[in-house]
Amino acid sequence: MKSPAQSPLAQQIRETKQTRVPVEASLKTDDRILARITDGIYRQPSSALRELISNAYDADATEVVILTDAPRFSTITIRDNGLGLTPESLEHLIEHIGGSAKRTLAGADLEVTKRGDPTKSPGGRKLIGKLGIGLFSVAQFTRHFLVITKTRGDRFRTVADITLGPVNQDERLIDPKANGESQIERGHARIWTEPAPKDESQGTEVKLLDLLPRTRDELASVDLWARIDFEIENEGRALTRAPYFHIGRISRKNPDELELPPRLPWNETHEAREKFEMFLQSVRVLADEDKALVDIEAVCDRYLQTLWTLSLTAPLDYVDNHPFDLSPDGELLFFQLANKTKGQAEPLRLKLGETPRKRLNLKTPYLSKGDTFEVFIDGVQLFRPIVFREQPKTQSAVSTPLAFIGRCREEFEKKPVDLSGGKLDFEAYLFWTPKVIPTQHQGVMIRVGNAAGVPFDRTFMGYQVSEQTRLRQITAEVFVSEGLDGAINLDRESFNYAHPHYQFLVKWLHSAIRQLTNRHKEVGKELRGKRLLEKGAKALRKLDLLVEQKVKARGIEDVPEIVLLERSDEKSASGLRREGKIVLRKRLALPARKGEKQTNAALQSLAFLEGKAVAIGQILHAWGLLEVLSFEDQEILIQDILEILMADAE
Amino acid sequence: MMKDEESDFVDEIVQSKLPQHTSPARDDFQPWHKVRKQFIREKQWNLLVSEMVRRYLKRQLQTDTTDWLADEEESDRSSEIPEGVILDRPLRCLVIPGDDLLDLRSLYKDTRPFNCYIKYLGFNQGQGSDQKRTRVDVANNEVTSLKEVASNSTVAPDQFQSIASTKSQAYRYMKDYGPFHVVNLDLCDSLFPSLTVDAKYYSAIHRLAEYQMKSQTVPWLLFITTQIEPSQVSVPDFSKMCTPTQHNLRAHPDFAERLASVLPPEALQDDGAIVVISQLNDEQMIFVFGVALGKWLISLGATSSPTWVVEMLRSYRYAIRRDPFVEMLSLAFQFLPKFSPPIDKTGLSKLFVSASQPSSELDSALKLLTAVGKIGDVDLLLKADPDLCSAMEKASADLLESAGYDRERYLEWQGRYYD
Ligand SMILES: Nc1ncnc2c1ncn2[C@@H]1O[C@H](COP(=O)(O)OP(=O)(O)O)[C@@H](O)[C@H]1O
Ligand SMILES: [Mg+2]
Repeated sequence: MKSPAQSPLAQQIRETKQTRVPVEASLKTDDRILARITDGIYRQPSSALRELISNAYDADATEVVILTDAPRFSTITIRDNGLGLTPESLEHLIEHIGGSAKRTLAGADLEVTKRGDPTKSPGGRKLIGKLGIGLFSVAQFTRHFLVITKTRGDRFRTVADITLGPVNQDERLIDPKANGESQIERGHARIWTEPAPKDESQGTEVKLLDLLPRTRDELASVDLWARIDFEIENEGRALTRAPYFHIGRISRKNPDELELPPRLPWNETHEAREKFEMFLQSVRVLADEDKALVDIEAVCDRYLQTLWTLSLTAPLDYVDNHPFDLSPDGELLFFQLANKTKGQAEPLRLKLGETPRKRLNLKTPYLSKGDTFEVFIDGVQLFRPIVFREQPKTQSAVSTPLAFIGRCREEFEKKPVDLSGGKLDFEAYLFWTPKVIPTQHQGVMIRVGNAAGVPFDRTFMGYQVSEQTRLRQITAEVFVSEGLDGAINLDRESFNYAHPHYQFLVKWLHSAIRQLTNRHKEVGKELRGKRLLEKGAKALRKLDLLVEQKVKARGIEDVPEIVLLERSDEKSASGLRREGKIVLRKRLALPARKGEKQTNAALQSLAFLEGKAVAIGQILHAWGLLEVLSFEDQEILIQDILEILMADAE
Repeated sequence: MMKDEESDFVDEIVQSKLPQHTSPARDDFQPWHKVRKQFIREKQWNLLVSEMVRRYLKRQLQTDTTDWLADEEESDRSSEIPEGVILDRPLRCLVIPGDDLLDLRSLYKDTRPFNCYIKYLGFNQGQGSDQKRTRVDVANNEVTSLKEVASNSTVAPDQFQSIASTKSQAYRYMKDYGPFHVVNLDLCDSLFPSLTVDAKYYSAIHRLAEYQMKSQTVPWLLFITTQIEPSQVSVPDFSKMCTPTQHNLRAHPDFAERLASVLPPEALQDDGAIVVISQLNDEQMIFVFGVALGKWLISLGATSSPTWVVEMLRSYRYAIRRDPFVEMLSLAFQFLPKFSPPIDKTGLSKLFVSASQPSSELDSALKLLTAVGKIGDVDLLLKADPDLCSAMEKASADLLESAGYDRERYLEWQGRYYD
């Protein structure tokens, strides 16, 4: 037998194989505060799905299938092929809400953690769960759900039909334990086993039944449609824009029919992956075409928004490349971030084919070789929808995206562990691009292990400096491999700001933004200069052509060469003249200029002025007017003409 | 309480019923647990699906594209598919699978030799009642966790009939999971034009055919199981159903002659054309119904574009009751796409492309008559072959056991039935 300490409930569950009479059990918690959690602490339907996906990940599943019956949402099924729950872990789950076995020494006995490393799953993934409340996030959806689970090699599957406790009553106390502690009842489970063939199959299915009307309405965007209906009724037309893409709308008369067919970025014939790619592509294209559609909330109904949010927060692969696996191709500039308060980001000159991962020895996402995790929702495969290639172009000076990459390991060596919370280790990138699409990708996302609770934080952890435009052009992710766990709040959707790890991250991130800002300004300046030079060169070329034309019109084939000399080179004048060239000394031929700054623009206009001096000289020469003057008069004449021209220009 | 103080917000916030726990399924045995149903599964459905999969595989291996309509050579039929060759796409099935998904489990087992990967969509509206729902959920969990079954296979809580409306959620499910290779309509009630049941099945099958013919490109199978109760026949409806048959009777002496040979002279009117329903005995009624249903499907295929040729394959019947006479008819149809190759009439091209034979409606109708004439009686077949009977009994017991039933109790129940 697997479990060394087989306990009553687990034992009873196993016995149902013979008795075929289900076991009745109370859902219990040791803690009054945790008892509240079964009432629901989450704000969005996506939170519950995120928790269930995380559980599948922790159970080493390689595939999760979610079926929602959208837009009807009669039931929602979350099915994985992970390790499943033994009767023992089911017992633990039911009798110790809020007392996860993950990251504890008991975890290995219950086969939820790796032997010898309680922070990892049996298969070696860094665990997401640890509090033991995630499953009860389903309270967001329903007070009634089914868990059907099987572990590999077992000849039965276990079925638990779970109802969550009353909403209105105070927690019911139940039989005090021997040591005097009492537990609180928060629900009820009926559990039995069903025989199964002895095979390799394994997995867990959570089926949410009797969905709460509110949640169902929320998923179906009922509020939004109702508002549009109201406007049409009262104003004669909709003032609110209907979402561009939506899952359709269930008829108010017949819940099995749609009164509005879905409008999706894909169609049924596309493969699961293609569907997501088309979704992403459509969102990007729409944002490019229509300013109002940069915001995903304008493009998508709640259902599609939920898909998007999940794709951001679940432990998935990037739709294209992980940012650390990008390689240079002129479309992207790389920098390495410094970990010092006053540090500067240094250009990361990668060789062709070299990646930041290779150069900086980056480890994220810490997956074992060959490990995969795929999530499908209603036939659409989810991916992290963040892309770094083919960024939209805008008018801003810098149009090349900039990728700032950093890694940091802080041991807090000289501080007591009790105060520092131990080691903190993370890798990160800040990606600057002219326009972040959709707007929901502006900000920073913190992933602990491979998981995140919420999408992007647009405040960049409270960055105060007013860099509004630039901040809106940054997408950043921090991948924490060690530490920060203790700073995550219960709902996994916010952090405890006082935690030293959080504080450290704030400081690091703000320094990184400062480094990005400096580099961005610099790159901008350089590029602006380069662009001006290019513009100037073009103007000069035009001038050359013009002169050539005029000179030819006078019947002269060769345009005479005119050399402009700096003061320091004036000695060579007579030699050049002997070679038949016309020489002008800048000191005399160009109008005097008053202490101008050496800006790019100033240099630019000087170059153009010189070009004009040459052009005037060439024309005068073609008309035979230069030869009649002394060298010095030639220079003065040209200066006079230039001055007159400039006066005009100013 | 005063009326004006009452609100009507509550329904949108709080459900009226406390969630009810469900319980494990009990071993209550049903007609479809009988041995003869197992015969239908194995000898009709699974066998025909296997044969079709074998054709798909062959097509997959071939470089030249033979006509799906061309008859297979006898030697071809037996030739082996090399080991390790697997179907390059999932076998998509639309089923009315019952609460235990028995037919799917059986299909899975029997198609193992072909390694095909099954993806199914089931319709089962009964899921609404808690007890049955859990049962379907558990069964669905079991079957989807089989190695070669797509894990996003599902059983939708809708009636199959609902697909008739393009607005229905059922129709959306069909489009999401199709186009199908196998459609198995194991109907609990009846397609038979009857006074007592008002079935909406014809619209649904019409919609299904429309969708399939538009989206599918390879042959597909349609199984229809329906009860027939001649004493309840609705004469006007049945007459309407027989219209295409009557057309054949009038237009084709061959057809009329063949039909006349199996029907009593009284059943044909003076002009020798119109079937008089009231003159048919129970047996003949089944015969005419089979022909009429087949003709209806043939005409659906013939009128779509591109056209589909519909053939009846091995079909069976068995008795439900003797008095009044009620029979179960389990029909199999194959839909074959008919694409016509381009023909160069000028001779500019040196390619030899044989023009496809125009398939005549009469050919199909005559073939149909033959097929209906060969509908096998499962009761007789089992009675005549005790070995077959006990093999089916064992297979049936295995199947039910795999779905969580008690084997001993089943065998006892089954024995009592056959006494
Ligand atoms: N999909 C699943 N596969 C296997 N075990 C699961 C699954 N979902 C939940 N569990 C079990 O239930 C326990 C409680 O889950 P949860 O409430 O999310 O807390 P936590 O993930 O923090 O442990 C987990 O520790 C795990 O043992
Ligand atoms: Mg969890």
